[in-house]
Amino acid sequence: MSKLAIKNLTKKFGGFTAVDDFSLTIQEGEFVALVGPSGCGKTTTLRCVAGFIPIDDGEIILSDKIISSKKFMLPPERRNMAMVFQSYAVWPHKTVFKNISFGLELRKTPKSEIRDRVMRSLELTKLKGLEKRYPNALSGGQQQRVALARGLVVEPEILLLDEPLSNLDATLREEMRFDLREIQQKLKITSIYVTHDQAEAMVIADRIVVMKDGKIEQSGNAREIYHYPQSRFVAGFVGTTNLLTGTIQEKNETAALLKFSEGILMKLKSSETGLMPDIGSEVSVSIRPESILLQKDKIEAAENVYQGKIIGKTFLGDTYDYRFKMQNEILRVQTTSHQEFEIDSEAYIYIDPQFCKYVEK
Amino acid sequence: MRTEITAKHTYRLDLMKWFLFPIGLAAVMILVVFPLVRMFKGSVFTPEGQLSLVYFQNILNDAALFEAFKNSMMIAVGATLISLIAGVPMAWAVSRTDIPLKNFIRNFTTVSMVTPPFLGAIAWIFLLGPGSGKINVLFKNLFQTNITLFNIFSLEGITFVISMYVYPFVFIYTASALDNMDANLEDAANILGSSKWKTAFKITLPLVAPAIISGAILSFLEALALFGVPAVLGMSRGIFTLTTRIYQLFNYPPNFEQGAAMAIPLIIITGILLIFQYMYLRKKQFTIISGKSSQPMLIRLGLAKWPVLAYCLLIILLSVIMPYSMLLLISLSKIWGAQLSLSNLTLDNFEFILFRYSLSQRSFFNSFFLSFAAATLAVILGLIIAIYNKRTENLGRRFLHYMMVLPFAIPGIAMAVAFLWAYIKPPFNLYGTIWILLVAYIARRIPLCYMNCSDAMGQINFELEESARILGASWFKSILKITIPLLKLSLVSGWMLVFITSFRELSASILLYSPNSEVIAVTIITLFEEGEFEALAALSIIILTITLFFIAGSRKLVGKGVAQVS
Repeated sequence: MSKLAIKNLTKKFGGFTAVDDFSLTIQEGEFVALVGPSGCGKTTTLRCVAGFIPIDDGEIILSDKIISSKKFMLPPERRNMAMVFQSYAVWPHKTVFKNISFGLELRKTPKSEIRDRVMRSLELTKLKGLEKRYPNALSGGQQQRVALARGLVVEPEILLLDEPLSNLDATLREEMRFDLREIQQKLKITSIYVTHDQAEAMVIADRIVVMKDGKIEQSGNAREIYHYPQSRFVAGFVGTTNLLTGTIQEKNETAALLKFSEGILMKLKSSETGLMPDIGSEVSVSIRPESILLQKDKIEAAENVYQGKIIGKTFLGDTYDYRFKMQNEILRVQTTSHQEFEIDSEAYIYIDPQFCKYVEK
Repeated sequence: MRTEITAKHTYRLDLMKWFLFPIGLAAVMILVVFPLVRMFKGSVFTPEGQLSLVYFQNILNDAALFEAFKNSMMIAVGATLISLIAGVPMAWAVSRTDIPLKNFIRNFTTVSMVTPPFLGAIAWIFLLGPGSGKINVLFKNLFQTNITLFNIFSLEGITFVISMYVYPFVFIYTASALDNMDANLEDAANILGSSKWKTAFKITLPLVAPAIISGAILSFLEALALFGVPAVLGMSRGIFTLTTRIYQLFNYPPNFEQGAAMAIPLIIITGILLIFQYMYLRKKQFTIISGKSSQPMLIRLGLAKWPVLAYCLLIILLSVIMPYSMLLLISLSKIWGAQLSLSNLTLDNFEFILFRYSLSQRSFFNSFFLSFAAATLAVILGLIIAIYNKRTENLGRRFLHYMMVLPFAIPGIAMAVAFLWAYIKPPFNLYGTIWILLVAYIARRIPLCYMNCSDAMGQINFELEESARILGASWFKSILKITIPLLKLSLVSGWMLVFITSFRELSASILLYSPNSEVIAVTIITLFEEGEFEALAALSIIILTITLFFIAGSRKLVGKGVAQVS
């Protein structure tokens, strides 16, 4: 049984369609991340699920009960969900304890039980000892933990997280990612996480849903999304990539030969997900910069070896980011930071056909 | 655990939101719509019920009425000019230069803003009255002459006194714009080779121009709306303004229709200028309020700092120190006019005012009661309407909003005219009771509370309320448990502001009071007309003390609030 089902959700703001015929099913205990650029509809989707905004079409179903439809919206307070906001939204006039106990008080939980449960969630979120403080005496990271504890303590059916880490500084953000994942795994709480940061989504989520223009672009686990992008958009949005366009010259069941404008030929293996289009049709290929082998001397391989010139280099600490020009195509190539090439020097690259990913759209 | 979903639940929630509407609607009907409609109707119908524009034509044709209109304009324009000459350099000096005593200057500007101008006018009579005004006497003795240096009972006198109490608008707007201006904007000019003085005129001045204009508009409107100063300094000499003429039209011989017609241009001018100010500021001010990113470099004035400081102190001397000292001196004198000596000092005047004079006791009680009730009701109603407008999407909220800001454009005396028209006859006959004063006070000050609440609510991140909702609080409960506690400081400071401005309210009270519902400001005017200057001064000192006490308290609160919330 699915925990939450979003069916054909559509939400318009005036003439602008923020969420467009969006469908998604989430299993009990699953941690799903909605990722996409700003304006892709991810936050709107989340707010529809929370019941803050009515929907124009479709249905949202929680544990087999319709909670939002075209005609009906169960108010947020009756959905038994919890939400962590980007601004933390920790109440400044309540102590940490009172912030966390608020949801339990609304549920008329007995006093002694409130105390126990608040204490437990303080422990879980590493906030023990801070319960008497007011939020203005807490750091950003601590405030975000209070917001999380406040949500967890009511044992919600769904935990919603709206860019919860984007106000934190970089190191703290990284640390909190792992903490969040750990807590979610421990409690097995069904969660929806909205972020524009694909790296964050990869760390945190069981499943990543990439959104664009109010629609699902691709959905899958981190590996699938990264290695088998189904669209140019996903390939470009999740990590860096080289996107090349060419026409199919030859093909069989396992491989195809692609021809680029300047007569470069490239072999690629069939994708796991789809069939190759017919000979003569134009297709895109995604090649991750770290999948390209760069060498000074000619590489011995049957295919996909190209000669070219280094035209740019950037030292990034753990890697070098080179710009490699072969005829009219420029590729980004990543090597270890020990592989030195001079600008303007000649070099060779080899791209294993299995790393040349055919992109459907 | 699971919640059963029924239509009843959602229906009940909507009901809670709608519940606020009838309260808000009743409030704006009683306080704003009904009085204004009555007054407008009154101005276009003759007592016989004939539709007529004769009362408006009279303003242009009747020499006395036109004169009043002209005088008001001259006073307002003059006071605005003086306000600019006084306020802008002072603001620049305290915000951008290295003169000493900056806090002293800022605080005394606030004192001058909260001083009831009619008290200033009375004090200035003792300084610049033609016969026995201290400065005039000094001048005559010093130069052995019979020439009067300056007669305060004149258009110039009225303009001067008013400007001393309206210049703070220019000062405060300009100073806060300068304080909040991003200093990088000036640094950028300096680094390109502009001198400090050149930067001040080419960069700083244009950037704060919208704030200066805004302040000037408010000074102008306040000068136009004031009743007390022209009443004290003009009426006895036959100098009338719009406000004092309106007052006359409701006395002897009464002409209610003409009074209503006179009030309308006052409202229209105010309304147009406020709308202009709002639109203009909205378009322009984004350049300035980019937040304070760095401390500006103060301009070192060198020796020039002393004349600049002297200029600032002169304004403070004229607006606060001299009039206050004068009133204090008179309040402590047995007989005003006798030689200054220790034997002439007494506290009898205070004793008389507080314990022996029944009119002042009664008016103290009335003013306390009215201010307390008006402040409490204005805060509650302002809050309800602000919540309805800001936190629901229900019908009618824009209407309530406009009706709440409309009284901003209605000067006190015009408000009194409207209330007379509305509540002097059945079905709502409140005239002759204290209740007509109460509704008028609420109507005059509710915009303040409403805007105070509304602005504060605009600064509350709505996620604070949403997080309460999703944790199980109903809409009403999230307002009750989250929003209102967060607004507490704004509510308290709004309450204090209404209390203190109502406590010395004059321009509406003067038309609406009746025997037994006298208020303090009316008593002061009565004492003035009876020539009881010592008692009057004692009463004035008491009011000023209470005023300053409250203002200091509310400023402390607001300062604390800002620190706490952010």
